[in-house]
Amino acid sequence: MEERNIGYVPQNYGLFPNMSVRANIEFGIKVRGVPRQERERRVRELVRLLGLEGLLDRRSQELSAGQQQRVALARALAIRPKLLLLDEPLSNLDPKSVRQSISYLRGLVDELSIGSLVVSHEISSLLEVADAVFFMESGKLYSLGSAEEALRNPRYLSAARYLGFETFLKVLRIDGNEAIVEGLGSVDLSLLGNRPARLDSSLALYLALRPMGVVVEDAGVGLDAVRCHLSVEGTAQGSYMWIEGMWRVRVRLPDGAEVLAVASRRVKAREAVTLCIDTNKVALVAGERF
Amino acid sequence: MRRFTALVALFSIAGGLVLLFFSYPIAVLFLVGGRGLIEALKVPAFVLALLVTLITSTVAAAASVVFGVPLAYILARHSFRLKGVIEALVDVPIAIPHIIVGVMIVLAFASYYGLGPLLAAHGIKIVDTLIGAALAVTYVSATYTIRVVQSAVQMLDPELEVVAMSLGASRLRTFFSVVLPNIGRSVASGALTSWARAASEAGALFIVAYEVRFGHQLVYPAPVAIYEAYVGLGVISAAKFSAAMLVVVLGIFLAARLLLGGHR
Repeated sequence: MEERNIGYVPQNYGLFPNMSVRANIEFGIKVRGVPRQERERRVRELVRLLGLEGLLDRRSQELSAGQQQRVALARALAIRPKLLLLDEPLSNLDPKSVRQSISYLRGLVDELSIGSLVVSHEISSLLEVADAVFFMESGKLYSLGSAEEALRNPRYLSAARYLGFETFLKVLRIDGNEAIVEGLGSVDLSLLGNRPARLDSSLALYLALRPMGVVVEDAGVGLDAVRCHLSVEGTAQGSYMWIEGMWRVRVRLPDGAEVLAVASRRVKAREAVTLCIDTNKVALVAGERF
Repeated sequence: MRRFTALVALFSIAGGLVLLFFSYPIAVLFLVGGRGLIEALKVPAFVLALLVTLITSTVAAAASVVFGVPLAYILARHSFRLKGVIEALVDVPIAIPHIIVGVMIVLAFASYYGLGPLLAAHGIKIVDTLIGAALAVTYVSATYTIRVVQSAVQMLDPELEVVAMSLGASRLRTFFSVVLPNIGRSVASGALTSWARAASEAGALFIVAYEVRFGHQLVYPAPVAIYEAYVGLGVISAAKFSAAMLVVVLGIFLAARLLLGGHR
């Protein structure tokens, strides 16, 4: 990493506890022998960019997590890196600091136009600043395209788990445009957003569903927004209020498969329900469920 | 807030007994030897003895830092084959009876075996010299610095070094700018422990440097001087020299600890 000119911000920020904020930011350019005047100019610029006014003489231990992260960012940016590498940048922050962090990140990307590589397990908040999404598993890196492409068509089951898909139904057979799917029966693949041809054929295929794409009929969540391409009967197993302010319902399909759906009201266990599946929110993925 | 339970009470009694066991003999020593303390410090031969001991233990502490810190860093940061053997070797000096350490030092550096003839050819004398005394007390005390520094490095987040190198710092620069300042307190505290251990060494010195050539005189290292007083003059006389040495050594030890900032 040292020779490749990569600015690195580790998960715990890695501020040098023996140095002031200013000394932290200046460390890299001092090591590289940047003259004092230029160093001060860069520090001033980074202080403005990252809102670090008044913190320069503090010690890292006195800073909040959000401030520490900005100091670490400033330190990494001071060397004018070709690439910025951030490891789990949101994992130590409270929700307010997450918003702040995202807005600083966006500002940096816009203003400095430095390519930034962000590694995270919790990517939902980061998708709004991402130009491209990659997925890494067992040492292999998969390119998933833009955030929109990744969300529409994650292609790999294990990638889909990170992108909001929570139900995976096994595809038993594909016949031209028709797939026979566990729990659903026959599904017209031409209705799906993605093209099955690009999938890894050595793996099993699954239909990946988002809870938002499966709506309990007559308890719809703005049903007009969710087109009912496919409907299926099932039995509710119970429901709980979820973070989007809607009810999540576990529904068992006649053949035993379980689906996560949403509803605008509590659905009692053992209640018979009709599910309305929006195939635009369904993706065909390859992988293994367990 | 911890509640004061029966367990805490029981442990406090057990712990109190240990503390009493530690402090009671010191109290008696000062009770018996305290009055002769000033008198002992006016005996020129004994002052020289203390000086010799302070010099050799300071050399030992310095050597522990210079040679021990790099080893501690490697042990803390790297794993390699036979690391277990090296880890054990670091502890060996504590396990060897110190009188045997003395015999080994003489055999290895001042006899017809080992490095003895080579050193003799260059006029380097080991037996009854400051060099020999320093070698002996370093052997029995360096382990403490290595262990304390090793655990301090293990506690230090390795990401700090990764970041420093990503910013362009060399490994050496990283060590001196990022690692050392953050373990400085532990280095000092380890050195202090080694120093105190070296100052208290008698066994190895009995063999290597019962007397030390210091300028034109022959001087007993302080622990040997106290032993001499005990054998020749009796326990009361030994007590006043002991009290005097304890005041000096403990005084330096406690002052240094205070400087390092209390409880660490």
